[in-house]
Amino acid sequence: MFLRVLIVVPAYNEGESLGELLREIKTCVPGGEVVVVNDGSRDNTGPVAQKNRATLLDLPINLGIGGAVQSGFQYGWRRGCEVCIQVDGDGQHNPADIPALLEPLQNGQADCVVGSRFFGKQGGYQSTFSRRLGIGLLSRLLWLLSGKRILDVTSGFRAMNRRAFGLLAVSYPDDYPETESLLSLLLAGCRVVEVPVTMRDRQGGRSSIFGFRTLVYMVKVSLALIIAKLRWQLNPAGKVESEP
Amino acid sequence: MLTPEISLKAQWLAIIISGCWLLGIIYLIIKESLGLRSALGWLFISLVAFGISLYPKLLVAVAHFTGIGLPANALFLFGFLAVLIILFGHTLVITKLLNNTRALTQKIALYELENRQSRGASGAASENSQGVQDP
Repeated sequence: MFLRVLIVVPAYNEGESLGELLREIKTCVPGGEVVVVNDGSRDNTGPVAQKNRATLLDLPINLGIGGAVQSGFQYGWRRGCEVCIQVDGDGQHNPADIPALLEPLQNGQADCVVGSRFFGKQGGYQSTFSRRLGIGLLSRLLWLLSGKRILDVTSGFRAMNRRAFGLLAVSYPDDYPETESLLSLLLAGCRVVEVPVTMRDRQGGRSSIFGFRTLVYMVKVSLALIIAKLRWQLNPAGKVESEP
Repeated sequence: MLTPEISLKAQWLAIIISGCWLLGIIYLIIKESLGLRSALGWLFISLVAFGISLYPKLLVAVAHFTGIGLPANALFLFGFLAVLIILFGHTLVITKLLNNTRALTQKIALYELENRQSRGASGAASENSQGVQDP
């Protein structure tokens, strides 16, 4: 059993779904500390987090998902946590799957565990056809660049040990960071595995990726992956050596 | 034809506009509204524009040297390149500022949380000590 587990919940205007999510997390991971990273929300996200006895990391301005998640990892590093689990504040991730995410970390089989909706098909929310197509393409690109096949590359439901989240606390992408951060971990020699999870439809709010933005997302993430690989080839040690 | 066809009236207009532009930049630098480091590009451009408006034959020489047929084309090409370089410099500065803002925001949030936690801990400790002292 890990002694210090931190659950990082990045949230931007998620007051509607956050309360229920935090109650579920407390039930499923009773010993863990929950930090809600309030990314400059204009709704009641902050008060909802405090009401549910979560630690509130209040960003004074909106940094976007990358900056919010990285802040959570930085907090985990400062607190000396052994494991950080990232759970989206929109309620899509089921906290009941967290023990399954922790298992490969406890067995020493992985540094990062990705909760995957496509691995071992558990049913539940599988996303739209166009998004699945995009995820499939990104998965293949990641495979090409890292040699490791991960099916759900855009999943934000992940558990990491101190080595992995320490790397991401130092350097984390801004926009659409999941796939790029996976590549950074793989290039740094971290072991990444997938475990099947069941994802739910959003409990509130609205996804930032829809319509034309899906195409922009694809182009941007593909470019970011290629640039990350080039950067790593030019400077393999890179930021790996620095401390958060 | 390489000689710039410019009437005296047009030349005076060019001198007044570029002169005012140059003086405006110098005034803003003195007033510290414009940092010298970021204004260097603009200062250089306005000086060149003022020089050309005073001596239009400079443009002819530049066009001849670079093999550009018309001096007006040379003016547009180098003007466009100068603006492009300044714009690119601004993009670099914005990226750096964004990275700095992100790091600062994260530090503020972390310090604010640690401050709140330590105040909470000291509040709880003083409450406990008061509890012990109570009869």
